[in-house]
Amino acid sequence: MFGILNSYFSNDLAIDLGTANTLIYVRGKGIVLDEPSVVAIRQEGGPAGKKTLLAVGLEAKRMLGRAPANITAIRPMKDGVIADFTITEQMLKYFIKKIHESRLFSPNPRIIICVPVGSTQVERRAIRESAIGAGARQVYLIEEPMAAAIGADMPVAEATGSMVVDIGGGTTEVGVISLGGIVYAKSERVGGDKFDQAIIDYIRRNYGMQISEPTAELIKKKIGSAFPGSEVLEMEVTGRNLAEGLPRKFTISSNEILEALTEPLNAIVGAVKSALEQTPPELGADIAEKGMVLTGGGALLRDLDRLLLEETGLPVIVAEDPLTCVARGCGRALEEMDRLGNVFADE
Amino acid sequence: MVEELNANFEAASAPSAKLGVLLQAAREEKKLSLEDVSNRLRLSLRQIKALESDDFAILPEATITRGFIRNYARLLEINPEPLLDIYRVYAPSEVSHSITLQSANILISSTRKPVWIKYIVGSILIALALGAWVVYMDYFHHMEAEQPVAVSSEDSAQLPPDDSSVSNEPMPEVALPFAEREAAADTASDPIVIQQSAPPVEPVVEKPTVPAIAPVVPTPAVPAGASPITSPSATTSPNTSVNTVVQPVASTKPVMKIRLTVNDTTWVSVIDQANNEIVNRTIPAGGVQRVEAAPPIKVVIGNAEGAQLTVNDKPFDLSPYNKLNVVRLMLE
Repeated sequence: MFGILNSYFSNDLAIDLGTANTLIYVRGKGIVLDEPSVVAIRQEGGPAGKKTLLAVGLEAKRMLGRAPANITAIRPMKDGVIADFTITEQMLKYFIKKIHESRLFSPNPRIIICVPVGSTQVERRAIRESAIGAGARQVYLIEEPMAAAIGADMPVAEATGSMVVDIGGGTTEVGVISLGGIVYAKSERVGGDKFDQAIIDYIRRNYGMQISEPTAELIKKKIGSAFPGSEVLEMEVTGRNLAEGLPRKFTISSNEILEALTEPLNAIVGAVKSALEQTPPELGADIAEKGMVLTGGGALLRDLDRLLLEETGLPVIVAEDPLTCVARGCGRALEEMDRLGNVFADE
Repeated sequence: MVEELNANFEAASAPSAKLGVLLQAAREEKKLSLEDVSNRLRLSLRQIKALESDDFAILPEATITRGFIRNYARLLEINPEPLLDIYRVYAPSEVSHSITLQSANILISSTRKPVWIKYIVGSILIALALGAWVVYMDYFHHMEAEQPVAVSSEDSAQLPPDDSSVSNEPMPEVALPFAEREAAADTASDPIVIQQSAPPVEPVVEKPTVPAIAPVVPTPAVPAGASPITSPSATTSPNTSVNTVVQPVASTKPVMKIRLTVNDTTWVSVIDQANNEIVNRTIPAGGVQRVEAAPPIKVVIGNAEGAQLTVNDKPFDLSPYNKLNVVRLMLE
């Protein structure tokens, strides 16, 4: 009886709690929230003073690297899992409240939340607990490759192999799916964040310049590429010269970024190759016919599909709207959750 | 060059244009062979030919084929969107794939029941059935064995004074006063024998060879199975010294007509003098059971509340014999 009342007062949600971005899908409405997973906290009156939530999401992301001493902008998710439990809970609570605004009662929804396939039981329980702490009535977990494949509209329930490579902010998930379940999955803690870090390290090493994370992300998005292309792009970057300690401008080319990204890209290629090695031959034949589908923000890195295509010799397809694939897949599972069972993951 | 190609392409991509034709034209414009495309996209020649001949049936599902078209368009440096629009028109209707496996949901039990359990259960059932039968038989035999003794004592003690009244009764068949006295005396346990004083008609065919043992309920010296009506001569009820109503039983003993009307489902059993069960049935509500037999007749009526009995077309009050909704009486 209370379930009916609760469902009247709060909508069921599917959450893609990502390292970089959090997306929320509301049942019957679609994706209603897409914000960076960043929380800004203000410390009042010295170290012993109380902490207040200053901003969450886009607003907080603008504070990253620009905040004074009493404000800290935190990314509570790291490598696809929770790094700061309390802040994650607060962030989820804030987002849930945001999409339920103008409601008299506090929302009490059922939540589907996705977890990396390689996450440990402790990490999964932390995600579940934080969702419950944020007001969820019931929490279902779904593994990211499954959600990504559903979101890319692959025939997951059919007796045919589908390979999905989801490159997120913190992790890269490679999954081979057939008959509604994951046949093989591998999670590599490499993603957009590692790309940024690789660019920061490269520039410090080769130019003696310190750049910030947001700048590294911008470089990656503008001129980053995973495969030597026909045209070379250049970009002017401002950083702090480590020797002089002063801000300096310099120009960097896409070929240099390609060199910088070699290490994390090799990790992704390695994960894909190892998945193909472990895939049963029958499913391997299906994958050779259809290729693999790239999802997640990492799939937007220029020529990443080309790199995987050349390395594996298989067709590679970037999914339509790869950034929201996992959230859409979670949403699809949410829409059909009442007659699903085997899609959800155990703790 | 590329812009020009794109412009031409946009012009050509009217909804009626064929996807394959556009792709082939763009490929030839780029001077690429099928093998070049196959090497670049890692698609098989068969798949590329299928794309260029609009043979979507042999290509994978729509989401993958759209990816192939996007990749191909990017290789040919043309805008993929018009191609995808055409594909959406001509492609087999895109149905969302089911995301769960349809299950027959038949539970597979891993523990097999041992075979001997069947035998144990079977033998327990058989034992129960046997026990029930034994109890049933024992109960009814007990009842039958009790009857003569009880009645004989009653008869010997109390019947003689009523003899005259019995004979004067307008309803000579049934010794009603006796029955009433029975009810008043409240001798709770025994079945009642209703004496029927048959009008003396014929001289008695004496059978001196058959001595009377049971005083009231005459044990007929008939072979079992003989019908009382078909062999009236055999129904030689012996004259007993104890029974005050001296019944000279003639060979042409009148037949007693019993009619039982019920207004609720009632079980009835009628046993004739030869101890043959003439009737043993359940009468449905509103049913009627007629019996014609030579007395004495033993009648047992279960659920007797709603039963009306007439004996020789005269109503017969069952209430004095009703014990726990079961009537047991002997009509003589």
